[in-house]
Amino acid sequence: MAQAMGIPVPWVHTAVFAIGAGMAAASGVLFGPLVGVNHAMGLDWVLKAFIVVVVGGMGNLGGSIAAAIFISLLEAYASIWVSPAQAVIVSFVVLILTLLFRPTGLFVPTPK
Amino acid sequence: MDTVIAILYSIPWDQILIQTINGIVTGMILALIASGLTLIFGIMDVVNFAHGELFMLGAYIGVRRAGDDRQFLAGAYHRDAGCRAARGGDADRDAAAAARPRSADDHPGHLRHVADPAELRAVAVRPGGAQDPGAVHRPLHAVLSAVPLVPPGDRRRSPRRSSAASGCSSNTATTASGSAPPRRTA
Repeated sequence: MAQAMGIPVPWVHTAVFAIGAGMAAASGVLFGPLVGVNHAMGLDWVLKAFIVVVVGGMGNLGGSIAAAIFISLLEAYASIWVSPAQAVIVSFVVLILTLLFRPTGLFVPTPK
Repeated sequence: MDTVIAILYSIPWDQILIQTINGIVTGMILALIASGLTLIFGIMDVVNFAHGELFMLGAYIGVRRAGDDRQFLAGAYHRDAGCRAARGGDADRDAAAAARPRSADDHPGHLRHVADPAELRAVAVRPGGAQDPGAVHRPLHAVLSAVPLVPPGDRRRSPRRSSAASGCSSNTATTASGSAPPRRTA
């Protein structure tokens, strides 16, 4: 339908991918000096980002931002009592609970 | 009532404050990554599992630039302008003059060298002279500068892009040794 209305769909796809990749690269630039940089750091973060996207609701931009802060705060509070490496468990628990009880995502309005 | 007070005392409030700030910082970074992932998923219906590698690439390039310049973002432009001027060219020299800090006290450290093209040329021929990254960045910097970011064939074809990718020290070194004549790209 968008194609019929004169929107260049392949061009929009390219631009969206470029913007998304640019956001990832910008966050990498911001976060690289804070922690160490190694070649395997991407896997950790894409897993966390995927959890955030699922918890926030697939394709929901505001929900993913809210879920990102929610999950990071949970992990930070969990790392007071357990070691920070084990605090990742919390985000997976949140993912499992979300998929069990509210598969559309925590931060989307309830479907009527 | 006593149990409530005991529970309130048992909560480590200072650590909770620290971890709140910590979590917000990580959460903002994660929000940036996740919104890029959501954008690509929502528009293109592709779950982009290469997103982490883009993140890693951005971190590498950012740390490399920060290690070269010792200033996080502001130093990059000054240094590029200085390098272009060292390779010769009046328009580039004008760019360096525009990028020159107003007084030497604005940008302490080795950026004062960058401000003067002739001085930079004198320093750049000395191996390792122009670059003195901080002690924190030195191991990573050594590893990274051993690996050229562009293949050697590409470097000849587009000298400016290769100077942006791999730092300008190699370019100025080849120019100074006479093996490659300074090429005008502007």
